[in-house]
Amino acid sequence: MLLLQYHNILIQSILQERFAPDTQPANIDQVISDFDNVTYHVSTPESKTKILISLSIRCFKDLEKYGATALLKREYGEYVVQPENGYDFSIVVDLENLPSSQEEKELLIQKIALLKRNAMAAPFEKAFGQFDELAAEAAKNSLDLSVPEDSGAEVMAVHYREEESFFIRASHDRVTVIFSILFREDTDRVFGKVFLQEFVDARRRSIQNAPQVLYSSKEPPLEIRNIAGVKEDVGYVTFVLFPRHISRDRREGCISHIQIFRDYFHYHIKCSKAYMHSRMRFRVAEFLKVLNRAKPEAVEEKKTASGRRFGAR
Amino acid sequence: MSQSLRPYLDCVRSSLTAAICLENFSSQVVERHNRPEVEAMSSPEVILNPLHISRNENEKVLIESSINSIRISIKIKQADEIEHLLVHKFTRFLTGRAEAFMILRRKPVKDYDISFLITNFHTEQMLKHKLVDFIIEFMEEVDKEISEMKLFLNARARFVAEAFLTNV
Amino acid sequence: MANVNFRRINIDILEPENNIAPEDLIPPSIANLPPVSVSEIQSFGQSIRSALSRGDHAGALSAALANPPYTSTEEVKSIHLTTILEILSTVKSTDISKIVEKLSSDERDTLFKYLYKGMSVPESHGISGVLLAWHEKVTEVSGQGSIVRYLSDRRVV
Repeated sequence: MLLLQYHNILIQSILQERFAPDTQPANIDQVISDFDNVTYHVSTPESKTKILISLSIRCFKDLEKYGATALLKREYGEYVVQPENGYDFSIVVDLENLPSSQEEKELLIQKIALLKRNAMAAPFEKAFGQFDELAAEAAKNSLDLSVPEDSGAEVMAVHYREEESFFIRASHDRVTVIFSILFREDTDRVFGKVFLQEFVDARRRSIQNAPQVLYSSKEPPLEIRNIAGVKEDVGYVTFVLFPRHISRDRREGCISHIQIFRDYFHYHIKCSKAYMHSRMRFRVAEFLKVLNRAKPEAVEEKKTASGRRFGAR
Repeated sequence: MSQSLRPYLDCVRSSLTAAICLENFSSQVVERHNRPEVEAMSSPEVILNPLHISRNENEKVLIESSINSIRISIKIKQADEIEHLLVHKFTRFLTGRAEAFMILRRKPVKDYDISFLITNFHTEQMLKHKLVDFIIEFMEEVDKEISEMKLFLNARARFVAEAFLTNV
Repeated sequence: MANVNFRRINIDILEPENNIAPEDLIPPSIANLPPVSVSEIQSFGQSIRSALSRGDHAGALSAALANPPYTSTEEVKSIHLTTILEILSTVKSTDISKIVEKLSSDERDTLFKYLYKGMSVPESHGISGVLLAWHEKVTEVSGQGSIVRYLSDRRVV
């Protein structure tokens, strides 16, 4: 599996099971975790047919600022209920009141499984909206599009993990997404550097259409330098999304994809480490074989023709 | 094998063959003790001259021998941060399994990455020329392994980055 | 005794009978040699260099190996080491075999000492390739014996 999926597979499978026409309603009470310390709670508090799905997300306050509530309302409309205690957002699905066709059911499941993605999408959508406005304005004023203009757009900061955040900023010819990256371990740091270097080089080498990626291991990029809470000793990865990446039909995919960057990146560091480990295991076994060759094989005991042994009497 | 590696390994091979010349020898200092003199360092008269072989400042071998034991320390080539990390991981992995590698020392000698300790008990059970073969093969393979791992890491990183970016 | 962990005292080193001082290990054949001074070794090195400039590599090498300063200070030893390394690195790699064959067995043993010593000092890591080439040729001629003699010879260079 090279690319990670955007939805939560556990929620998807629970709902698929529940939604199947011939299953008996049953009690559910399950806490599910997702990337970036996101937790879901799937339960049936009132009756077996009413499934309550709640989402807890660290940076919900940040997201709310950038219009997450409206976005979630748009996506989940009729299902939204008062958030469960201890969670940030809840929806209820009534099994007796499901859409009739199989296709619609699948769509609903998919939509619910993308709960986290949709919540996190708010600042992106907002930025893309700002980009549209700024671009239109720039076109009106016939500004030279090749000159990067310092737009007045606000930098949106989302502190989605304890020590890591991402920042989004729109301007008239691009949208910049910046991730702060912090490694817990030395190994991760070194591996991460190799990976990030390749991200930076990829555009130059083969994929001209890719967004521009920049990486700095010490200094925060100019865009966010004057934001409070930006630390110096953290790595920063910048994605510069050009208009062709955020054309209307690619927007949704782009949001999902950029969101998953950190998880994807760390997932592959872990995979490399696991591979190295199995490789070393193999190599050690080979070395042992070589060493064991040094042990002489047990010399076969010689016997006389009559079967008597030498020496022993 | 590269041109400069062969004389290096040949030199290690001949030096090792000459140096592994061990006999049973009980401690002169403590009654009923029999310990590797090269580790105990308690009687200077049974310790032989240390022997250094180097290919460059990053690849060195130190052979310290004594009457009943010999210690071989290897410094593995590490050109950059990645190789340094990989060597560290690999040697730690090996020393963690020292029990299985009878002759592996659990802790490397200072300034070196990995050490072996061969005593007369090992040479009594195992064939000397095969032990030398093992050390030589180890040195060869370890270099290969480290550079392969590094290449793999780069290749994977490239592949992963391209896969991610083509999909944006 | 309050601040000394008496269980950790190695009482064996307090027993003079058990211990041989490093000085006792110096063989009598060289123990009474007069130490060589810095100026002496430098002028010796100069004479070797002039032999070298005449193209007499074999002569220069055997002269340098004939009287190694066994009993002198580290400084003197390292000056002489530099001289010998200089000779070794000026010889063309194709001539090494010829020169090694001309040396006597004792000279080859001494050469081994300098080869190993040369590889142990960080300054000469640049010419390790040359030293390894010499090592290979000398081993071809005098075999493992020379290495064993290097290990056990207390006359350290």
